[in-house]
Amino acid sequence: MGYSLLKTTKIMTFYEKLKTKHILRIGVGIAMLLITSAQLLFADSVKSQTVEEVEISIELKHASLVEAFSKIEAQSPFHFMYRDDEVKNIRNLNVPAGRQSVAVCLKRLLANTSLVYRQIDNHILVTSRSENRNPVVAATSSGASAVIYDRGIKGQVTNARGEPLSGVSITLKGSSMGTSTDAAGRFSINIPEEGILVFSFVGFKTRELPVKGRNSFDIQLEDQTQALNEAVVTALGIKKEKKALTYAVTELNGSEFTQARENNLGNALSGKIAGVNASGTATGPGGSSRVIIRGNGSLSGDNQPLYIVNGVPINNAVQGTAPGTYGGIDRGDGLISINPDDIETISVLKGGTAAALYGSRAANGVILITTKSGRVQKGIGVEYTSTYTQENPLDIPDWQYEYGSGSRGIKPTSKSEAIANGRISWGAKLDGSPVVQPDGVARPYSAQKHNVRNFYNNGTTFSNTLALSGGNEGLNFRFSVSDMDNKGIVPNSSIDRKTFNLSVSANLAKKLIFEGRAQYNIELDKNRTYIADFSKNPNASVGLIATNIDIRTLAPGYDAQGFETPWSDYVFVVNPYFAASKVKNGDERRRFIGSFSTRYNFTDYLYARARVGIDYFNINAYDIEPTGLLYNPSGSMTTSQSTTYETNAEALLGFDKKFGHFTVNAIAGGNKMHNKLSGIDISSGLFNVPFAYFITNGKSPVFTESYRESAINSLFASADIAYNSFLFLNLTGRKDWFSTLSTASNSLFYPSVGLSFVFSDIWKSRPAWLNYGKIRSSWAQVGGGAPDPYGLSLAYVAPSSSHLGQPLMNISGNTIPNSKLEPYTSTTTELGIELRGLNSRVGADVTVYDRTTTNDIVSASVPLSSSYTSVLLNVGKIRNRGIELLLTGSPVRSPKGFNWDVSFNMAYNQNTVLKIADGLTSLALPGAEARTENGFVYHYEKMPFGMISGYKAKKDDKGNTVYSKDNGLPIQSDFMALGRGVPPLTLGLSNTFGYRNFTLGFLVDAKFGSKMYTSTNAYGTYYGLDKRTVAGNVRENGVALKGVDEDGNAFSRTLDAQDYYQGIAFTLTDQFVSDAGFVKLRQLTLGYNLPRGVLSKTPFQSASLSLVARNLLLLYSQLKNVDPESNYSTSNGQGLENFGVPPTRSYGLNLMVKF
Amino acid sequence: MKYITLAIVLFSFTLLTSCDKGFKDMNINPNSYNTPVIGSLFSYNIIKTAGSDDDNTLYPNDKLAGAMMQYFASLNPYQWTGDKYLPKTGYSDGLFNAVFNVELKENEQILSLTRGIPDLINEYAIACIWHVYIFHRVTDMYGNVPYSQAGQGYINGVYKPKYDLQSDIYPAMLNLLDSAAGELDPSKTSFGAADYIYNGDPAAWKRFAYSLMLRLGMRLTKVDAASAQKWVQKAIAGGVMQSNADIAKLNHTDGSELNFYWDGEELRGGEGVPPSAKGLGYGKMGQTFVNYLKNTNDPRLPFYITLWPGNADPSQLPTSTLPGVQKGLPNGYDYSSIKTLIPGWTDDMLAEYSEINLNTVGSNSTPSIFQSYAEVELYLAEAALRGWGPGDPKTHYENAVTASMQVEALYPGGMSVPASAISAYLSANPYTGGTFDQQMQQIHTQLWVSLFMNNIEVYANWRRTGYPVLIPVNYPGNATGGTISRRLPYPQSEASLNTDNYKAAVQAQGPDLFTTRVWWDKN
Repeated sequence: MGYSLLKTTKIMTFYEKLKTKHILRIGVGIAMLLITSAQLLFADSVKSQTVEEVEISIELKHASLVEAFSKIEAQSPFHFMYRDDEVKNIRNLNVPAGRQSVAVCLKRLLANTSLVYRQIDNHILVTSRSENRNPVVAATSSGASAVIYDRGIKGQVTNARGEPLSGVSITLKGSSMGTSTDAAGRFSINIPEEGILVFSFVGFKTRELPVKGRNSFDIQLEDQTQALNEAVVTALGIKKEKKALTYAVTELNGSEFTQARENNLGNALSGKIAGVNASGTATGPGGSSRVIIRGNGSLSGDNQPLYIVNGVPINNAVQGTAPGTYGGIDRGDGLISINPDDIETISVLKGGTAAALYGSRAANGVILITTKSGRVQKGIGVEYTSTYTQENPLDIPDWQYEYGSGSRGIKPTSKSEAIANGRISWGAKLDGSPVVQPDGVARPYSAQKHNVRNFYNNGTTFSNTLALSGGNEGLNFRFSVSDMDNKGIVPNSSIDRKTFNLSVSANLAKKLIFEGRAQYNIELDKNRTYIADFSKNPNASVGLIATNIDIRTLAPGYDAQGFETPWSDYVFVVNPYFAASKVKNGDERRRFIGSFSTRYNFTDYLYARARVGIDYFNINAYDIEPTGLLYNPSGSMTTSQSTTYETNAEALLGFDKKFGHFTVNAIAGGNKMHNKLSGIDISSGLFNVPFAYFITNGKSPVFTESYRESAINSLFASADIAYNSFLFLNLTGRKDWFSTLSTASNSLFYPSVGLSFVFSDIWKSRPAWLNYGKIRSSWAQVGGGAPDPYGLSLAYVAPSSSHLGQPLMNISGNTIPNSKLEPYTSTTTELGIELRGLNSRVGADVTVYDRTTTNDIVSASVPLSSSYTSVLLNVGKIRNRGIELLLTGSPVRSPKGFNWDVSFNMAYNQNTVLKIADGLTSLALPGAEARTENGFVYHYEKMPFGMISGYKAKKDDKGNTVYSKDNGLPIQSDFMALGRGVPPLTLGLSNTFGYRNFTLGFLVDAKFGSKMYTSTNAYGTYYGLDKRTVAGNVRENGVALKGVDEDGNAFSRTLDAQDYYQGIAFTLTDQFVSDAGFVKLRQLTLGYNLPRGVLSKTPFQSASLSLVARNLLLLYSQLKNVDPESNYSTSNGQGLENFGVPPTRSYGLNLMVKF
Repeated sequence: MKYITLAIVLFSFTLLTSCDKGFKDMNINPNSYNTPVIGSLFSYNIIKTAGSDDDNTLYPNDKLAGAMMQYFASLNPYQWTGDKYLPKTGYSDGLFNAVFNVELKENEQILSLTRGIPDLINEYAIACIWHVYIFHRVTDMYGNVPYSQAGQGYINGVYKPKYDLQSDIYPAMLNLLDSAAGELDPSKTSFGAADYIYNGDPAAWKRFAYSLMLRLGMRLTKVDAASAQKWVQKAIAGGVMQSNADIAKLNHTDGSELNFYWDGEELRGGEGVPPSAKGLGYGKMGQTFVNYLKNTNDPRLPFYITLWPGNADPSQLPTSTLPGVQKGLPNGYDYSSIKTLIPGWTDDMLAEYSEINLNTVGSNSTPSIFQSYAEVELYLAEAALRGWGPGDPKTHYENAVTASMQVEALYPGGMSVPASAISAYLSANPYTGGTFDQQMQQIHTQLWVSLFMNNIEVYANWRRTGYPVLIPVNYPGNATGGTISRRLPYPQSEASLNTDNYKAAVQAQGPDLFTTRVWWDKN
């Protein structure tokens, strides 16, 4: 190539110095975090010495120039670079002895030559005076340093609208040479005659262009979102061109999650992707989320997608006692471990074809999370992100404020009456007169409307991430450290999550690539709030306190001895201050997620890859019922420890080759999954010594051991065949063996096939406005085994304690085992079309699909009179049909720099339960029973998944309500479905406005078509809080009832309002089932990027500051008194709530800097 | 390098060669037994029948039957709903759920593991007797219930058991007792120490079987006197309990939920009368019961009841159990309406009302008495009165009173009634004879006093005999129109999960209400 490599020993020194310098730069970075004012000082200290400053002692007689350079290098930090042919003939040089600066020495040496020198850092470049070229130092892929003489190239980079882009990074592929564009989008760079220039910029598709002797490049970069040939990560981490895909994949950039954040990544997906229904829970900041892709496909299985982090399936099970009828704590799911700052991309594989390669657990789709890795770059990059937000509780209940505490229209007149009526607002008209309250103090009998605001704190979340990255052709790495510190709105609750993330890849001898990624988390949660029941749950107490009592009068919640002070009729309804200050729980989760892979390229078209992934976590948790708790005055506690791990070992052979018009891309391999959980729970029994909280202080400690182990072995293969880049065929096949099924029927093979056709590429006479058009179709099967091990035969277990010296034994569990279970199958057919037009300023992507699950393994509820609660049956059939629509557009592209981008997504999923089991037309969802014991979730044949069910008032043939002669109350109808619990329609609208360095974005998120059973309103009615208990003066006039009695005779009676409403509150379910549609302003960000001009005076490469907000406004809601997203459970039983943690509005600041 | 990689790849593939090797073993829970130990299952079955949680103790026995029988009273309308006949599904469901889901589960398994095995005939017969004990409580409380197909979810794959008529269940239970009693064979092995009740003694089980037959036979007097007579006579001929030594009971110790007496544990908890409430707990003793004990100078009073300082500090029992200071709370009032009854009522006055004695009859180490000798003697008194059995009612009555007072020796707390006090009581409250009804009143009022905390049985006996005479209350919003409930409604889960069979049961029995009578409770 005509370039000479320096073969001096200085190369090592150069690298060492490079290293030292960068370590100093890292030092600067870290210092920045601590003392920002010290930055410039540090930056100065790393400047190189100049040739004028460095003195050497040298004497040369008849030396060659090469010899002279060598001697100077020996005494100085410098090293020389030059072109051999220009230097080698210069000999016979003399330099008199003595101490002199390098500059003086060089002046002498080059005096009579045509050469000149220039210092670049520690390099001295020697070039010909006559040539108007700048030499550049480059580290080559071989690891050596080279001097390359070359030409200057100039150019300008613009976006698709022809507007200049500043800050675009331009690098020479395979080297660390690079520059970036100025404010006018212009750049100049010196590169070799040959090579490839890489133009990259965040938010734009990276372009690579061969130099091929060109001197100027005026190029355009396409927006990432508009890129047509963009590659996305698909199954097994294989990148594919988007146009080759035969199924729907949505890829989101990590930056979508870093500004306005959610603690749980699942919640952050809401409204962003058509066909993905993400919902959070009202269980506090560390709670779980439920993400459903294209509807629920299994009647009783886990319907959530498989989460894959860097190729490793991670465990996303909800920890703790998931809240059910009688309460519980949501200790969060697996997604809480993911730090948004580490995410490079999230790919959502929606359809069966997309997921077919992942096997059974991907039957509900796959969410692939790829974390950031190091890149070939000059030096070490430092990125720092800091976000601070405040969460304010929203005061949603709108109760009646006309009547106060009391019963039957009478105010309490004594402390015990006040306590007995602490949550009963059936008293007298609020008149401001002094009335005794539960603390024994008389206060004005007047409305207290801000108990929510008065009880809850404002929460705060402070997240900081520092990431270092770097790399060259041979090795690259990224390391990040992150801390997320959350103080919840429930007093004394907090979360601290630390994440360490390392990604390293080594490319050894070109053919062998090692890659390792490791994440370690430490999560500490304190005092997660109890949910759904009343015991230990402060939220229900805040929700039900009588209208005239200021919640703050219940503080501090305990007496001088530390015993809970009573405030209501029922000891299990905790004093909220006692719950927040004395009831304690906590958990500590340490988690390691790692993936290690080796790839060997046999040839340029054949490779082998072996990979091992591990998700290992350990949870230590404790739960203390403190001494003095009213319903358990001695107090007691439990602790639990569990270890869960899953390993996946995968090996595959890959083949990638072009044959004429055809390109074939094929893989074949196998995977071995092993999953194990072991744990122990210990309960203390009542404490012997009060106020001392440790297990051995309990008088009857009992332990239980939990253990489960399962495995899936798989073989798989796939082939992608492309014809001329416009016709693509995709075939996959996989066979799984499940350990949870009997060996007689434990395996299943399932295939998939897909075809896509980019018709715009061959449609010669296509209309001018159409830039791109593609149709795709696919058919896929995915199967699955039984979710839980040990479901085949009855097992007997022993409790840990005995009685009177006799050992005990009992039947394990409440599920009737079934030894004949077989795998189930989910079949998806999808058809889609993608269009882009008007210079790619508008785009549409429409998909229709049908997904049918057959042989579904159903955990069918059986009545307790069978002695069990459920049985596993292999008979379910459920169908999801739907349409997904994505519309994108760029309505405004102004030359002045004002841009407006809009994206709208919509999905409608029609779900039908086709069959439950022979002789079984309905199925109760386990645990899906509201605390009122009057609201349920059931599946019914020929109805959508998860119907909220219960009772109405019974009607006779003529439609008259039937009343009881005895008590005058309406008689319950038969048990029936009252409305779907899962919304079929989800909508999202996001807008981004950009003007110069400002960006404004917002996301509107809406869901419609489902209902919710609001226990809050049922209790609100029972206890006289709901507005219906005062409407039409019913408290004065009574409730006039007319209909028929049980015998069919005419019935008419006026019932006391309290009798009537307390009589129906827990019997007429339908009174508290309402539409749950809503529209929320989900997210708002206003960002400012520091301009280049300002940045050049700082050590930053880029810096941005954003105002961020989440869940800013509930724009529209069909529900009263409760937030439409206050489900307490992420289980299949959706549509139940009971006094959750109030929703919060969060807003704050986000800072991101790179240097 | 190439070969190293190849080796790694090939090694990875070898992991996959046998695609389901070891899966069978992996799918066996290492923390479980592969074969059951029948004796240990039976030990567990007895414990869980005595009490599995509040479902088969606090709710049916105390808050419902206990309050309806006016042993207990409460001012809280949301708790102790039996005081005011208010509906509360969680409470009325409790016994049904516990019986079928817990008490019956291991019992059915034992029956299926022992049935037809000659060597295990005693184990089988004992399990059958226990089966009847479990079932009669649930049918007495609800009426028609699943019987022939109940608990067969695993054994026979019956997921939706049909309901049997109580008129069929009773004969079936009585026949089962009869056959089981006949099968017991002292020459064969038995449960031994795994049987907490009789240490596996076939003779003792035989006495219990016939005593239970006496109880069940007597239950039929209203609906089918001839059958009642037949079974009562059969029971007496077979041999019933002879003394307090024959009592069917499970001893408890303080400790975990498998050790303690659940009623005691629950009563000392938040929904009962925790000592920490300092006398302001929910579940006070009822006026009807306290007044009766006081009026008859019953020496069992300090054993049964106390004022709260005695519960908080047993050393204060001598003063806080004095009859003169006891006060019973009237049934049917709440915190407001009590003021209309007792002018000048103040909060703290609740502490002056008696509570169950948590150191004796309500202790955590109080035995669960499934059937007492006193009860047997009282049924024998009725049998004698009806001319169905030997002896005279008076003797049986006095035996019952004596046994009931002497039984305190089996309880913690160290209380006992001296013989002199027993005879003083009997002479102050003699069996007076009189009309049939008068004698029935005396026998069954004594049963009410003697069987305190066997409240479910007392409630059944009250429905059959009408004694003791109780004055019902009529609290606003009650579910019965101001009468004491005649049964409990079925759980809603039966209506929703076992719909057809539930509907048929209701069709046959009458509306699923508190006021509908079960078959033997003929109007």
